[in-house]
Amino acid sequence: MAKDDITKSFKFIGTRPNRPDGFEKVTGRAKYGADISAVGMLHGAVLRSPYAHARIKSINFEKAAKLDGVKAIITRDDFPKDREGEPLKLLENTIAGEIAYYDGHAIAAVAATSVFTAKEALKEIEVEYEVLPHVIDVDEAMKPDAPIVRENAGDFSVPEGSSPNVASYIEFGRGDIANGFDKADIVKSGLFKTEAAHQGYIEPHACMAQLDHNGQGEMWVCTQGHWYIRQMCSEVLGLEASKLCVTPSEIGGGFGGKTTIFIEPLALALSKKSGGRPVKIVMSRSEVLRATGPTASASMDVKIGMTKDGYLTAGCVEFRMQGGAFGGSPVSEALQCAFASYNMDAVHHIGFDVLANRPRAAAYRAPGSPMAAFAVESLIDEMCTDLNLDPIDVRLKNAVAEGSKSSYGPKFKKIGLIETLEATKEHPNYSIELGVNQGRGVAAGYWMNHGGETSVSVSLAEDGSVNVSVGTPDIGGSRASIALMTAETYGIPYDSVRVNILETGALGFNEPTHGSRATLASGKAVYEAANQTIAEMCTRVAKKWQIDPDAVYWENGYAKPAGPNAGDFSPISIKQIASEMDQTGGPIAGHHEASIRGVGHSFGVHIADVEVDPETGRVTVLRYLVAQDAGRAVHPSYVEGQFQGGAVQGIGWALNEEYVYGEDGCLQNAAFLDYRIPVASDLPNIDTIIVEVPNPDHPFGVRGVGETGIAPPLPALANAVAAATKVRLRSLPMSPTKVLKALKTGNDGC
Amino acid sequence: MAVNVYLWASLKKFTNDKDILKIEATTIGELVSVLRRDFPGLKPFLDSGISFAINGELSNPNSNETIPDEAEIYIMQKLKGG
Repeated sequence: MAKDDITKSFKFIGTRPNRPDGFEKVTGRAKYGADISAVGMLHGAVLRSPYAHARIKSINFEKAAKLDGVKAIITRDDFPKDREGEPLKLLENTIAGEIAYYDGHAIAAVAATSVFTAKEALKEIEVEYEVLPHVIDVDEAMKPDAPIVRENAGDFSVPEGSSPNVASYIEFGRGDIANGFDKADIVKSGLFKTEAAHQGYIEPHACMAQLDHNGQGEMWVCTQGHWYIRQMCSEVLGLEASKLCVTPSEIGGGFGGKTTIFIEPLALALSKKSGGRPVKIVMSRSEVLRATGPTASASMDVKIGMTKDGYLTAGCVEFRMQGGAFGGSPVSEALQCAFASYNMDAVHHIGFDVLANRPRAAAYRAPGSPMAAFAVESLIDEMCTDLNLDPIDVRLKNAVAEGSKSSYGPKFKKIGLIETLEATKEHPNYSIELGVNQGRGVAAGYWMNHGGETSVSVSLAEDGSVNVSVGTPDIGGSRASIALMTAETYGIPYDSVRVNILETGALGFNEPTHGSRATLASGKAVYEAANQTIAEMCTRVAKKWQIDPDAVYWENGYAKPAGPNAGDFSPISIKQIASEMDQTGGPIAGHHEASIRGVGHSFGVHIADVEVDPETGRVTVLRYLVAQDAGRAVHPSYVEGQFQGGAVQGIGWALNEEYVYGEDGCLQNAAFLDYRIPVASDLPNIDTIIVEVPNPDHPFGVRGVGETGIAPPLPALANAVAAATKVRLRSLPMSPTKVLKALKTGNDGC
Repeated sequence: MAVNVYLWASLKKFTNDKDILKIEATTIGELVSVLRRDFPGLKPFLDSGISFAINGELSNPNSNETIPDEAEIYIMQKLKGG
């Protein structure tokens, strides 16, 4: 099924070698965030607000400071007072100033000689609060009489007369909307809602930091982006960035949630206050759920027009997303993704980023796209049902292709949505007969992917093996895929390449592993750096042969004469060239630094088969298929894993996961026992189809594959449940309680 | 050389009610300078972190990047990936 315009035949790309980090991980030797320790290290603990919104009238830590073993206590007074803009928001979210804005907001932190002592000291800190009115729900927050989360929080974009809780506003579109709806045979609209969902990474946040009085420091941290950690901590604390060296640990999942700071500035400030002793902070699961960024909750109005033969004529959306007390919901990205899969002459998008008394939203795998897909793909499915049209055929009729103008403006280059839809339709899962109380749902999803700032180096070892140095932490197999691309470039075995993830002092700035960019961007940069070294090796061999460097070419790990006219020379291997480096001019290394271009847009299509128990409301996923355009699957096992992981997170979001708040605005389910992510026994095998429509702007045809897979599950599951029950649920999660209620009343009240 | 700049409609209040601007510029840096000079209300948007799509290609801002004549340029909020 590959539609291959890149004609190279690859030797290593597309194979499935062992993962380079596998041995360390299965033997427990891999070092994660909490695994580091140092001589003289202290343990940090954080006091958090028990209120959703409260003025901090006083903090008294005299008793805590007197406890044996307590070495430092910090409050907001220990941080700079002149921050503004985004650094001020980061600081406010890291530790409260005059006001605690959400349940779990950090108030103070302690460093002590043991974890036990640090936690005991927290109990001795006396905080006097004045409880303030709070608001949790996004629609409630936009009402005229809603409690104001933060005064004057709206930015330049907010229209006059908006709710004080609107932080930003966005609007865009094109075409004649009224005319578009006039052309339609059917126009439907609906309100759709999704709850906040956490990224659910297995490894809680952890770091160890050391900071001297002169502003020089080091940090070990589990993160998706250690340059971001350095930048944010420097801005919050007023440090000179180059004096802070940040080293990433292995990472037990991130999914976007580890692209920002939470405990890191606290550890640095505690270290400085304790005289420069290293301080380690490890979050509990409860702290992760209460105080780190989930994604936003959303309330979304959608209206779509369709002809009776299935062509989309117009679409409008208004998305309201709460991103916590400091803004930052992915409403912009959600709008960009909403109609991106379809050719539509008339589209209009409105979005509100809304404040609420919740932790600040962080990125979560294709931020915004899953909510948008839930709203738009559900409504399209309703229309297909009303018109008795095949849902894949309708999507094929409207699918964007190369040259299509995206719903948010820019034209697409080469993309693979049509190929993905065709592959989905041909798969056996689409024709398996269903039984009683069973239903099938189809949905598409989109993510634009990202290139970003990237810096790498490649160096030749003296035995002809290769070291690759990158700055993108490996959260999804990037060490394996980069090693494969390096091996392909040189023509040397995969095992002769070692990919290292370096600390911030060793390379230029690198954006995090986010936006599905690590394999695409670091891989492209490594290709350029490796070719620098190949050019240098060819030059040295040319000098040896006393011919022009252009008369030497590289193939399968050897420098060779370019043809009979170049001379009769035996090829020289990379091993020989490396062994002679010290005699031919010294070390051979290459670098590449750039804002990487050539991003390949990503589309996926999912099919879900479910069975709904009419007595309990439980939804069982019977079968699940993910088809997605990978451009080129460098290591197919990792690509399949990304597809499956996205699907599983989306299934959890669709069926069970939600933040449950009490009347007091406090989170009621801050543990995995109550915040119900799917486990293996909840799931069928996730079938995958890797569609390969190579990205023409990448040397190996790569597109990012990490994020798109989480967008279609929400509507695919909703469409399957609707098919099984003939009742449409327009709010997530579709928990048994909600499904049962909908079965009895005919709707879910949304 | 002139390029066509497309802005979100919500920014029209800063650009005399236009969401498509014809700008004389040969690089991204020049383009941003002209926008700052002619439409000062856009400053907080331009300062907030932006991405460009130049003839369909998404990228971070690079002030030295040359823009093809008659290029179609979309200015968007900076991408937050997961």
